[in-house]
Amino acid sequence: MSQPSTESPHDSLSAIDSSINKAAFYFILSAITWLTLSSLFAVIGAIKTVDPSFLSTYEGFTFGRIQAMLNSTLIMGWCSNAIFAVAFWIMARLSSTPIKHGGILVIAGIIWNIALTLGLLGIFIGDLTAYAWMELPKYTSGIFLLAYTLIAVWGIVAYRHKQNDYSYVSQWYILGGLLWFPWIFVIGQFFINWVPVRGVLQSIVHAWYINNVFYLWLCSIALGVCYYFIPKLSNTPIRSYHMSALAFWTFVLFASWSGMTYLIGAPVPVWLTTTSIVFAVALAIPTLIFYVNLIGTAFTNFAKLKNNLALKFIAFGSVAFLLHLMVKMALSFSSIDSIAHFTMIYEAHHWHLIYGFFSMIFFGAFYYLVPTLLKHSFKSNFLPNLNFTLSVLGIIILLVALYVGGWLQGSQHNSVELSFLEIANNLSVWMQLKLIGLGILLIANLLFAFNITALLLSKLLDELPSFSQDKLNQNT
Amino acid sequence: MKHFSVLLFGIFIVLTSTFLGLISSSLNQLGNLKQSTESLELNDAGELILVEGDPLYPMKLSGLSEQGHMEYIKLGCVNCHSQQVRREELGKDLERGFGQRVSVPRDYIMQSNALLGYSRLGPDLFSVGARKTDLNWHLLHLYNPQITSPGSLMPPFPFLFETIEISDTTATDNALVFPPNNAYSPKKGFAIIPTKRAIALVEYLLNLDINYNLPEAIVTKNDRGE
Repeated sequence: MSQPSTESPHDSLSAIDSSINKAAFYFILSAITWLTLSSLFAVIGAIKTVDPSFLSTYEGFTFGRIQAMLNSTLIMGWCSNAIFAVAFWIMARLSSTPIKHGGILVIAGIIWNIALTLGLLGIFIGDLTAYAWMELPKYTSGIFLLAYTLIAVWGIVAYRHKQNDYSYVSQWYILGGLLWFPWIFVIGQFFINWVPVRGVLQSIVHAWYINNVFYLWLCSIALGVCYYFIPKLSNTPIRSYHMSALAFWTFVLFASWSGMTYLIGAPVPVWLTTTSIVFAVALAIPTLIFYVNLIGTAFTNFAKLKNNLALKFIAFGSVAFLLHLMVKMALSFSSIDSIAHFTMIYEAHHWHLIYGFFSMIFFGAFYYLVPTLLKHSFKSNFLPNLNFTLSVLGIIILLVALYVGGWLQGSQHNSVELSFLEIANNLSVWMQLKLIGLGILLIANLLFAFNITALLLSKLLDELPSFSQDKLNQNT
Repeated sequence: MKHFSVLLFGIFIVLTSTFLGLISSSLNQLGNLKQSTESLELNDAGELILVEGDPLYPMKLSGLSEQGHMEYIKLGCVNCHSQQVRREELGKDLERGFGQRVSVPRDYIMQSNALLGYSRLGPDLFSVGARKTDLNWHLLHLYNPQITSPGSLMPPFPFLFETIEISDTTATDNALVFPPNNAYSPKKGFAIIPTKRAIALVEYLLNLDINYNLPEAIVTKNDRGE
């Protein structure tokens, strides 16, 4: 294994970059669109927990369905499209292979987005399943698989002749994520939607599914992005890089085995949750290595960190990720779980992963990727920096509201003299704070969408005169 | 390149190990659970067998309850309500009267989906049928929770009801009975009628109750539940 510090000469880099342009921009624009839509769902949902009568006469907007649409747009819309945009580009660069047949990727992306649109309409009219984060109606699962099969076909075609040298750890995370996702998806869909198992077995499959989607799909790819960008942007080799292989194997194995902590205390065999608790605690090992590898590298060069927009996002995301893993370990202790279970802490933990870690990493990656692909940079860094500030502010407010509010909620659950009505009333301050956090994040995400599209448009406008000039030249 | 096959093998092993270790083994252990009588008896061969003639639990849901179960899913109730009773050392579920005993895997085998839930923004519903037995209360609560529980965070479900004008020809015997002078009562001359969906959902809720023993779970808190 060697350090990802040397890059190929610039000519071949831009050949690689231009080879992926079409597909990358399709996924980038899709990701931005779904992110905006999901932020709207999040705010509508949050308003409903402050004022339950809001939009309540419309069945499609009832809280449960908004929540289902929110989860689906986040995972299958924003996160997956962002992964497709960034992961293939990094893979192409690290293996120095131009992306061939990008057209297949675009077709796959179109089918993927059709499946999600259909699924959201399905949820709107009441076809949602009973399981959080996999609420999309079962008739969409085949279409998602078709899209993913096309992506796999593309992978085989594009890399057929390539003697791949998988020497960088970021390639491992990305290859792993891309190979794990279809299996996780098929197993989840098979045992819950296609040939449903009985009773609590469904809950066990569900816990396994969401845990693996979170850690082996979202986290794995996002970690690959971290390992690629942090040394590159901070211009420092990864600290203790020899440990990163150990971190990879321990993280993916332990995280995947730790899924049943969602079911602590539930009517499932106790050995299941006990096993997962052991693995959740063992996550301390990769967490420590991530601390040295990622934080240790990102924060060595403060001048770079201050001035590099993409690195700022990615460094914040890495810190958030370590905190997320620590919370995951803490939540696996029964004494903490007896308070935290069934509270907003679980919602906080999901936001922590998706907004605190994943989105920040990918915001950073987009802010690097889009100018590079366009060969056109931001005229001023003011709006992207404002995006960073608002995102950080929104995430902190949201997480404080849900973690602290959730802890108080759990303590009150255990005070029998308090009715659920009183607990709900005591929560109202925290619900309002959550709404403020999600409101700020909506603005931050809109700003992100604006910045990226504005850059695209300004590049197009810049090209227009030269384009007509070319035409004139041709005519004369 | 020589590491590539090792890498692929490792990637394969990670997911396969958790599938076999967590899912296959659970299927093996729980896949064959069947209904049972409340207690078992020893036969001559010294095996524990079902008591002949005793009713089998958990009972199958009635057709209407099954429809209500589907409505519960379609409306996303599972986002705020759990259906499980935890052990004493993990919280106050038994003291709160969420059930007369801890829930066990066998309790869920007759339902098309196990709606264990993950959030308790609202109370647990595993035995709500024992706590709230009044059909009209449930209907009012669904029509607008503020009628029965002022300050509740639960959304109203007015689309499960119809407002009709009272006349000689319309049947209003199943109309909702509002508390006197309630702000949410319909205008004079009108009545609120539940749709089939509301009736099914309430039938399901009224039937949510663990009022039976299983050999592995005996009712311990007889006096709990209103």
